[in-house]
Amino acid sequence: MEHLFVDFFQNTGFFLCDYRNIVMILVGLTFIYLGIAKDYEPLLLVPIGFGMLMGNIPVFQGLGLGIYENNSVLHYLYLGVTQGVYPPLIFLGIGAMTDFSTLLARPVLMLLGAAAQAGIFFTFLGALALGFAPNEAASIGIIGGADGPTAIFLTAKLAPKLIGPIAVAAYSYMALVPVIQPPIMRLLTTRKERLIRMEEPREVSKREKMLFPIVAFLLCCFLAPAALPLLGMLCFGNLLKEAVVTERLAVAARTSIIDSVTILLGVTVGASTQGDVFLTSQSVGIFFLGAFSFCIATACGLLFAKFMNLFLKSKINPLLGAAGVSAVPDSARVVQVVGQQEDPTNFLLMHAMAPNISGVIGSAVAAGVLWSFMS
Amino acid sequence: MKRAINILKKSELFKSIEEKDLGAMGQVLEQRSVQEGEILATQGDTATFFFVLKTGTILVALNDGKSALVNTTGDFIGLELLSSKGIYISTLTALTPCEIVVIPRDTFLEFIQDNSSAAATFMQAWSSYRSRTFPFLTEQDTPNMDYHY
Amino acid sequence: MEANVYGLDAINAYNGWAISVVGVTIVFTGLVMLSLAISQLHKVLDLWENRKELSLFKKKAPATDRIPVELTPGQKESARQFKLLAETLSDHFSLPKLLKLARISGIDHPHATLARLLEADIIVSDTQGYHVLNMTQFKTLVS
Repeated sequence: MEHLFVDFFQNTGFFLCDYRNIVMILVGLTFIYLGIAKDYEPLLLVPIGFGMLMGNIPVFQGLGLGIYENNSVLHYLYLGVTQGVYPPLIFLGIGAMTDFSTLLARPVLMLLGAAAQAGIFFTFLGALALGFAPNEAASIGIIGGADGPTAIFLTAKLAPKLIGPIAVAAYSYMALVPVIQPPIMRLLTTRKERLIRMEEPREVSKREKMLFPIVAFLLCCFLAPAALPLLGMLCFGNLLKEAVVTERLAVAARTSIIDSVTILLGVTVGASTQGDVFLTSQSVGIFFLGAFSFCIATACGLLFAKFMNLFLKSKINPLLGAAGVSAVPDSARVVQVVGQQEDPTNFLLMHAMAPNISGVIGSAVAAGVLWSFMS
Repeated sequence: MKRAINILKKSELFKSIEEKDLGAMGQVLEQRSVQEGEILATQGDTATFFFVLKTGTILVALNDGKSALVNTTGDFIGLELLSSKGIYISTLTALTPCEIVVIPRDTFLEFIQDNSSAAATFMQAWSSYRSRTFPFLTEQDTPNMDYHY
Repeated sequence: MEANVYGLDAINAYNGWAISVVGVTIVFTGLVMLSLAISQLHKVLDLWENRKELSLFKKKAPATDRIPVELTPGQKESARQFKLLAETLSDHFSLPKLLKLARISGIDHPHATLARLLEADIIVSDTQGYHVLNMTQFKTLVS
């Protein structure tokens, strides 16, 4: 009977645990705390945090419990991540909830979204310089797109082992956008520039809003076919929304579908961050590069806006360049806050949504380009 | 009722919304005349109506002493009601004799909730109208953006 | 990591510069093309929708010419009283407060008079929710 107790005890988490499990469980608890108590991106941090708890319970290998064991439930759910299924479904929901009017009213603001994506490629170079392989460097670079689903999608294709640290880095820095961006915005703009008032946008008709997803999809995917899964679903979701006759499908996409997929994606990505995979020098490098990528992307957007003002009659407030970092809608809100600190009557939020949303399209195109280069 | 809808169509907030999308709201619009000095709404009272101006000048007064004037045909008064827990947050006084279109609050809320595409068009128009007419009012949050990505 | 190459050597070895330049160019090109396409979209739609009409009207209504405002003697007297009341308040005063003082003071038709003063630009908004006296206009129309 004694040996039964010993066998049982040797199969418990207490016996199998090592310090890495404890560290990751503490990180998971921190994420849950930040999500619930501090309201930092709760829809993302709570599932990821709890997934970390699930993934770091020490289990006996071979019982089909861990996420990396072929016959486990978590593994089957994780297939949606590794096979690149969840991110396009999330983009379907995003398209179904996004209003592209501000972008259509002033298309030139799209270029700010494009400029901010330069951060992806600077980070790619930085990752290569730090010794990462090209496919890993591309996956790390996409963190600069500030787009969680895009980062997970590309990493699943190019460097699946890095999904955990890259996803955690991407979502962590998205939550930290209100901390990272303002100092860079103040450093790279003058007070006079921050006071620039934007022209009122023109009215956008329903037909324009309906045609936009079709035109955007055809143009972008003809140019970068590898962007098809993400852009295709984004544009499809938007068409469902704008077509009005398919409103119930749009409602399903932006509520039940996106919420269900977010739960599964968050939990499984969190569960994939097992201590032995996550707590490595590579992860440190990824976190460092992630911060670098956000800073560079912000700077590129701001500087490009200033460059555009050299040629534009109707000046753009350069703060909008920071909204090209496609952490939607947080970076647009940061632009609003920083703008209002200079002039409380200057409402930049709706204008900032234009580069914010174009950044989503830009990061999807960049992901497609990197995928096609690395394949 | 038809005349009331025509006044609505002159409003920059409603003109890009089709008549059929106005739905039930189009059926309950009422046109009223208001005398000089008449108070249409008092701050703190339970809110029951929104207003669209046809003619005249209305003073919109907030509790901190700030105010704005509404004097263009089609001008809309009262959207802050959506976030003010059902009470008026400004006092509306007619400075001149006015003709207004009255929209019951419950009907308007149904229109916003039932027809997301028309509501989105309306909210966008409201955002620019509000920033022009009431620039000193603090801005509202991002429209419909609970999901972060 | 596959190879122990670092720094500029790693970037050169893996064609990093070329990938970055081409990648940025493609992203930019795509969004520039899209931006150009959608900037023309509303014009194409306008042409299509108005193809049977003889002429196109722009949506913006032309600004109406301002008719010069003239005040009656009674309104001028009320305007002087409003000026005195406004001078008891701060430079940037609250319009509802001014109106209240006018009613208490017994000025005739305070609401209509105030509306007239606003129409004549004797009282103007400071865009911050308060109003100021335009003394130039006051002297022109009242004095």
